[in-house]
Amino acid sequence: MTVKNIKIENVMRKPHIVKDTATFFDVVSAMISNHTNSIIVVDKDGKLAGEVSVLNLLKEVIPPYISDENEVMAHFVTEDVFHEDIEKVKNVPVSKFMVVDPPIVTINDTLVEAAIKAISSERSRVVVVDALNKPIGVLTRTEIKQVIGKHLNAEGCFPDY
Amino acid sequence: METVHIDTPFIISSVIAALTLGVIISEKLHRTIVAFLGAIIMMVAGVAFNFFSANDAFATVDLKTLGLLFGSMIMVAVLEETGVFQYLGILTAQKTKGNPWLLMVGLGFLTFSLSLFLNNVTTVMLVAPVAITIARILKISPIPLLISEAIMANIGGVGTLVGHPPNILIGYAAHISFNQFFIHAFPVAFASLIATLLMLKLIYKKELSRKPENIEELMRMRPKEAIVQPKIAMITLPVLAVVIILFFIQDKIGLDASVISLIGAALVLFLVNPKKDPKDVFAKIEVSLLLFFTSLFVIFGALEKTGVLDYLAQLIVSDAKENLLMTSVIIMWAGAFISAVIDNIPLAVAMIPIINHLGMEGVPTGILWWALIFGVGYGGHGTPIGSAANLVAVAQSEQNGTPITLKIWLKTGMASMIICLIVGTIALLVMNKYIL
Repeated sequence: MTVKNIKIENVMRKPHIVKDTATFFDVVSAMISNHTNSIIVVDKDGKLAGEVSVLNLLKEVIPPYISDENEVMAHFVTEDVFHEDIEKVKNVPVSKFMVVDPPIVTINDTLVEAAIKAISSERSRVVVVDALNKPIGVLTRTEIKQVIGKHLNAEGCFPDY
Repeated sequence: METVHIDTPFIISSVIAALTLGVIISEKLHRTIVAFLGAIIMMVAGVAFNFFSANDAFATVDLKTLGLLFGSMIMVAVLEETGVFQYLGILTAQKTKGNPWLLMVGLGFLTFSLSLFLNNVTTVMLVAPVAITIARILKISPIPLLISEAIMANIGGVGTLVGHPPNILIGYAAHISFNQFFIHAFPVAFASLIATLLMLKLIYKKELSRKPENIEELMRMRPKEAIVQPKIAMITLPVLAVVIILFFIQDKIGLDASVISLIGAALVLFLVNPKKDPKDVFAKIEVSLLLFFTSLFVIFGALEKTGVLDYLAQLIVSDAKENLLMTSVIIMWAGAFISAVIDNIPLAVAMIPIINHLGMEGVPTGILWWALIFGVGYGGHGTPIGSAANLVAVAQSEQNGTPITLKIWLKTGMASMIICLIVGTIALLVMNKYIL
């Protein structure tokens, strides 16, 4: 396959999925066991419900009274307090902290469209969905970087798709 | 005073004002947008029915009040990024060695002192996380500390001309200088602080007697590490000190408080970074509040022009003349209970021309102004919605998982409000002897 013919379906990776009934703990466990920094959330019909990244996890753990208005106080938060904050959120349902409208593309869209959606939403991954809005893949920074690297004949790119 | 004629402009301006204020009070829509629309409608109606021209409208806008607020907002916007508030909070906490009662007193005094000169909401927004963080380390309840800080911010705001937006409005209208304001209001505010702290000690006896843990963690903190912008702090703090000194000597140097505030703002911007576009600082200016004030000036200016406020003043002038002290006490207590549930700025803007008109009718208004100042000030902590500072404290308590419920707030805030009003009543009794 030539570089110019690379399509979304050629580069997307398999999505790691949890149901919308999952908890914070379930999401963290899924991320760790699948060696991924993002998880797709689906509803009972398997349709896309949202997406969670590590950033979303951090935002859920760190109270807004520190993160929003008072980053200075973060310097003084002890390990015990941090541990308590993590414990507090472990049973929070994923619906509370997931991004409910992640950027999406279909396999008929172009890589450029995917790149633009990633830029405009300021998220580093784009979910690939089918006609029924069920997730079938994910484009992350890695894949998009690889495509750019392929075009530039950069060393170390993944083998041909 | 001439008899007021209830004519078409009277009715139209009353309806517009009543509708505008009614929607503002309902809090279903944003107050600034409603006030702005109300002011524009008033201006259009004023031209259409020939009672309030554009020149009239613009003449009602008190640029001194807006200037003082604007200058103050700029100084706070720069200062709040430096970490100085947090530094003071941690330093204060360390002095108490983690004793919960002393922590409440220390942080309460700090919040009170800062609120004398700086915005209440910003003070609570920056000091409250210090209280929460330290409370969590010490494993004590943050609730008494948070409520105390919000209440002390409100009480501190009463103490000076610049402590609270309604004070600025009332101070200018009543021609009260910064010094006069301080001499009369600060002792009352300070007495209210002491009385409230004692009351809080009783209410939270159980929480405050809990033995703190991890005191060594608190003592290990290095407060100076909170100052993330030391160079800017070294510039802003002296400027703020100069501004406060100028406020105190304003009578001698003949500078209006608004000009002093703007001097501070200009100096801060120039000395911190004269080459950089100050848009980041301006982004923190509460334009919404400035527009809200401006809109209220226009609306009440129209009511004054059409005689509505004259009419309202005449309703109470005879009672006021007969028993000035009782009238002032009623204004204070009623003002407080009203301010506890609705925005105190429209209340202050509404009462100012009424009291002015009473003055024109020969009623000595000195004590009435103080009654209004104490009323709208102390009403702020009666309910969680009485003041934006309260809402900040409640929100942060919820974020921490230790929410200040309505029941908790009413028990504490209402009790504190009543205690402060009792102090205020005593103050009015004393003032009645020598203020005209």
